[in-house]
Amino acid sequence: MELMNVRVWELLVIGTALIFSVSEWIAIHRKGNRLDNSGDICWYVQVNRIGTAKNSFWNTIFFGRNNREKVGLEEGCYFVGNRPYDDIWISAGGKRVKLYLNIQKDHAYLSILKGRITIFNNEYVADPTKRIPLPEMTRITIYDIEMELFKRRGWP
Amino acid sequence: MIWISYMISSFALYIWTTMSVVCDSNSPKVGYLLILIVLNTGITILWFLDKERQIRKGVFIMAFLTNFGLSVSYRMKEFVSIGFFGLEVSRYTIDLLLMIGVFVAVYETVRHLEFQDNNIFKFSVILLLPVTIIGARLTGNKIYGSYLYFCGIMVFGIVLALFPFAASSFMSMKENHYIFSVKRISWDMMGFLLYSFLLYAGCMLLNEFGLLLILGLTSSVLFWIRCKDMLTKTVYTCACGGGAFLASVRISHINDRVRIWLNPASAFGDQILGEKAESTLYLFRHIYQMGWWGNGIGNLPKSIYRTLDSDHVLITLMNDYSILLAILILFLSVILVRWMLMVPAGLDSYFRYLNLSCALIMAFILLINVASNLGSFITAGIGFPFISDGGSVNLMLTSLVAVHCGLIAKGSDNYD
Repeated sequence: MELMNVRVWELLVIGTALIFSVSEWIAIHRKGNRLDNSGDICWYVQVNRIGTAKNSFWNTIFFGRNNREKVGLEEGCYFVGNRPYDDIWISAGGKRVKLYLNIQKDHAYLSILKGRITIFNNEYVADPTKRIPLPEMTRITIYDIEMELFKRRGWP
Repeated sequence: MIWISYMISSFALYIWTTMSVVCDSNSPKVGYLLILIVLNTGITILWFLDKERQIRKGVFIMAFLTNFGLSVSYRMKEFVSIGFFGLEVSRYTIDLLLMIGVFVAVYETVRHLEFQDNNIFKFSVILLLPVTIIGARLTGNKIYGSYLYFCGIMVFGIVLALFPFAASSFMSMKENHYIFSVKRISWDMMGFLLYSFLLYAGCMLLNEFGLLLILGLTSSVLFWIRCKDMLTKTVYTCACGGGAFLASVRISHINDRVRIWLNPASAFGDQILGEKAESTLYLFRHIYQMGWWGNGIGNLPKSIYRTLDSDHVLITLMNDYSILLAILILFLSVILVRWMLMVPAGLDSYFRYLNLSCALIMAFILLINVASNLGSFITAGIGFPFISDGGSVNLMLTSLVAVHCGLIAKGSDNYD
């Protein structure tokens, strides 16, 4: 009898532990009550297509890309380029372009790793040692794409 | 449902433990009950205070694991008298009271203080880690070949409690200067690597390879996330791989375990390796005896492992409590790590890296303990979070969870 009593408590612990585990799992994964891991957005990048529109079947159905997109950026460094594995993928035609975008709270810097771009009618070629400071509303032209940077509204 | 199931399981575990483990007097039973009431009262207060319902998820899991820590500690029958009506309590009970205090203190500090721009604080923490390691080497006593303590506190606990703050200082630095070009590593990342290698060297001086492993894994993941250059990451990974290979060849207890795993059959026949093979592969040889429902609390003898309540507590849980409970505990631990990885949106990058570092340390401690208990070549010496006996380590883990809770509250305060 003594042993059976012990077994009853054991089963109770296991049963309630199972209920507790399932409840916790549901609580963690429930929508609307989840934590978001994104940082504070301090800059926005808006990308416009200035060349021929690319509204192919693949673009529309599988990628859903429009001719204008806007992305919020947190503090950090990003590779911007025309390859899918770049952090920010821009669908620019022409040769390979790879930029290193350094976003800080109150400044943004750009370095050109590959290709050539135009900023306010000035052409820049690849030079990984050079950092170009980007004031707000800078327009960067990469072949048939125009990229514009501006700070988040209300951001110091 | 969470509160009800937790309360029932907590008190049912108490009754199960005290019925299974017979003590000379009722004093330990009373002590166990009192601390359980204190713990569950604190948890209930948190339940009502946590309006956002984010903090309670992880803290309840922590409390659930702590219940098993109390049970295992009671099982060991090593009590201390605290002079309060001659009350006898387990060592874990005293640690738990400290854990509650540390949790509240760290939580309030992280929630209310804005130290992300305080360079004096950051520099002090960065300096404190090497000082702790060197201090342990110079002033500590050798215990089983390692220098484990500094000022009476385990170096493992001090370093891992402060490392997230040091790491996030480096990770959140603005990249303004580079070695050669932006294609290569920035100076702040190089500084982080050099600092990490300094800590690794310190760990080798102390013979504390468990700490080195945790620091190495955490630093590597942070470095991989932060550094953009693939060549640098590859070189770093090869260097770490080379170091691990050297360790497996030159450090005797790691080398023994690797040899046991490469050829278990011959290891059992070997005069020197045989005893180690028995303890390393104990779980695989005896799992069929454990059964799904456990052999009863107190069944596993100390002759198998001296560390039944610390490094090998998972085997104690599987043998004594049940494999089902051990699986649930592992499942909850994974959920705990998952919970620790998420923070509210909009936090400063310093706090996001701080949170990530805390979560990574918890994850790797859990992973290494499970791997060690399953008999891998990874060495033991790291206990299961919150269940294993070990005041310094449990306090460190509590502070990591408290940092995460403080960041959740800070994010909610910012949103308001």
